[in-house]
Amino acid sequence: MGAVVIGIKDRFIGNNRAYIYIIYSRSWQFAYVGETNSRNGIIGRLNQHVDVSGSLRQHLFEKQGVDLDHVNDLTVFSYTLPARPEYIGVERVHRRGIEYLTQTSLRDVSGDLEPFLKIVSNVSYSDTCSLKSIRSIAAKIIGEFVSTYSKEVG
Amino acid sequence: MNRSGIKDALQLGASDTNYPPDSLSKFGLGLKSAAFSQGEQLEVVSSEGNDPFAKYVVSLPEIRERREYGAVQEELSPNDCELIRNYLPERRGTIIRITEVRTKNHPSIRATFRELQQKLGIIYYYMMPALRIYLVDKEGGKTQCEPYDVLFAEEADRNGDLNEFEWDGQTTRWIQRQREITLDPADNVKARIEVTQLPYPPIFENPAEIRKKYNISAGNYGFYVYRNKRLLSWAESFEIITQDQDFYAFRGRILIDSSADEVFNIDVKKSQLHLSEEAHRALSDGSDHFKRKSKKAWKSASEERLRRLNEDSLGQANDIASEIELPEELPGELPDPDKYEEIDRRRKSVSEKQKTRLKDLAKEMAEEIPEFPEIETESNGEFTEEQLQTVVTAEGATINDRIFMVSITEDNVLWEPFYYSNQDCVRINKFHRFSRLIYEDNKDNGTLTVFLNLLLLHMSAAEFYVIQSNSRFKQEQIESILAEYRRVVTDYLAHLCREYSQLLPSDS
Repeated sequence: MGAVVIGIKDRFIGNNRAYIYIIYSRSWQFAYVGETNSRNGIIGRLNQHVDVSGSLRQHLFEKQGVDLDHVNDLTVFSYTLPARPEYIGVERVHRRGIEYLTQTSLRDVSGDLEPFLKIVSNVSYSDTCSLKSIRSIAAKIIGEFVSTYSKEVG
Repeated sequence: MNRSGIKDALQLGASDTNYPPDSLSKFGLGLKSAAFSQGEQLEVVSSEGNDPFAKYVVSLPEIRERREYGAVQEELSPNDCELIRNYLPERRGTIIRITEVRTKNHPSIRATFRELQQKLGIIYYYMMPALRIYLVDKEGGKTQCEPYDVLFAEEADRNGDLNEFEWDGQTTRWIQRQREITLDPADNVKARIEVTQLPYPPIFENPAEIRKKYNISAGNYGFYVYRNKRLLSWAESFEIITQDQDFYAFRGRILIDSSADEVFNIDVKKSQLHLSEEAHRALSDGSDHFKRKSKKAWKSASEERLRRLNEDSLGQANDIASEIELPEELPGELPDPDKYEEIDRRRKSVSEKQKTRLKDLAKEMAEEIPEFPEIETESNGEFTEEQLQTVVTAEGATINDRIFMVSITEDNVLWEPFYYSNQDCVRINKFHRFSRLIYEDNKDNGTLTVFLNLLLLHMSAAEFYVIQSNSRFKQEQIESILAEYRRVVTDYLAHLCREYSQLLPSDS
């Protein structure tokens, strides 16, 4: 038993916003990369992920044999994408491009992180990966993630 | 090798610890299994230079008779002595001889020589030219094996990176220049990977020669894995590069050292690789990018070929569009002289706005498209007509086209009306899901794409018509409503493709 205080700033706002997020656990050493323009923002998407049929829950079990209920240090890193039509619209080809580059870049550095992270999400290439803005955003996301992760106390 | 070294080499099996870190050896079975796959007897003649040459023979018929594996020491034959004189003048080195070669169902000597020459050039590519390998025939004719780079990296260096949408199929290009990937974060196992796109043979007048030069065929596409700089696996698919003719020009190379042996699960013949799940995922995720680029480039070259044969649908639609003159007034809409002035004003306004749009596009394209150059404006801040033409004709279009397939549209809509050179045109967003459904998933249906291209051109032209001729509403109001309409159609079609893709028809 114990009190837990959860501070939620504006990550539940999804209207006219889109995000790339990385859900991870330091103690179970996994990371899940995703994108959303969900009306309920990151919090809404996280709710779906931890649900019984959520893709984070399923992938974590399939790829690492880990039951999400045992993970007690789930952390969400999220990055708000520019509020432009290509990112916040129904068509997700631009968000998918950033998601792909974020995941592949994270995989490249995953062994250098302390502790290392295994990637459990699936990802598909999008033609928009060749656009400079997409590459630039993905690079910023990874830079900020690595910096955040490295600063955290394990 | 001295006598003890020869005996060790002929033992069956050896521990990993017997080998230095970068050794090509691993299990202690390679020499024997390779030799006995070809003949019945293996002979090793060797000296380190300090002692006389020693010779040991392993004979399969004798082993069968003895019922015990082993090697027998023999005296050097006159032929051994001659080989030492000719090839080991410093009186140190090793001769391996396989005798009683099985000839049944074996390819001809000439075919074997030809195949060996190329394969040795590929297998020992990184060791050459320091390592010199000669093929010598019975008459003493000597041919040196040349290094053969399966990726044709020097050509790719000259030609640059692959733009899959514009590649004409005639040059080798980089899909991925060499970079490090992490195969297993737990042990931080790394590999280096590089991928090129070889030329597209059918685009050439002599496709057979091109296929031969680049070794383009069913058994040669995929990843070539080099361990400690020697080829370990030839055109490996890893079940990632599927069997598909569209991947024929895909050449990947993975460079590993002994630290990656575990994640590659190298088998005893070092010929079968089974990636660990983690490594497979890492390679598969990264390769999604390479595969898409390679396949798209192959198709793009194929379309280029068709275009040359004047059979491509975009070219066909543009050919038709070049003939089309739209009526200035529609039937039933009587010309009203009072409106002429307003129509003229709006026409000029549309034209001015399009010029501004073109300038914005020049900047957006320089920002977004890697190979599009940044254009310097004149001293008055304006672009020259030639510069604007560069914008219009980017991404493979010609100056007389009216239908453009592009990477950027305003607000990322499916289609954007465009007015250039006194003509109604349309820019179609090739990245939109609906575009890909039509132009990629249904590309064999040329008629469909011609009609869609013409439909979007006419919808664009109709927008300009309404903006210019409908004086009941303000120009800005009409423009705003039409833009909003396009945005909604764009999102509805994205929703259709996303939610109901399984119901929608495609070539495959």
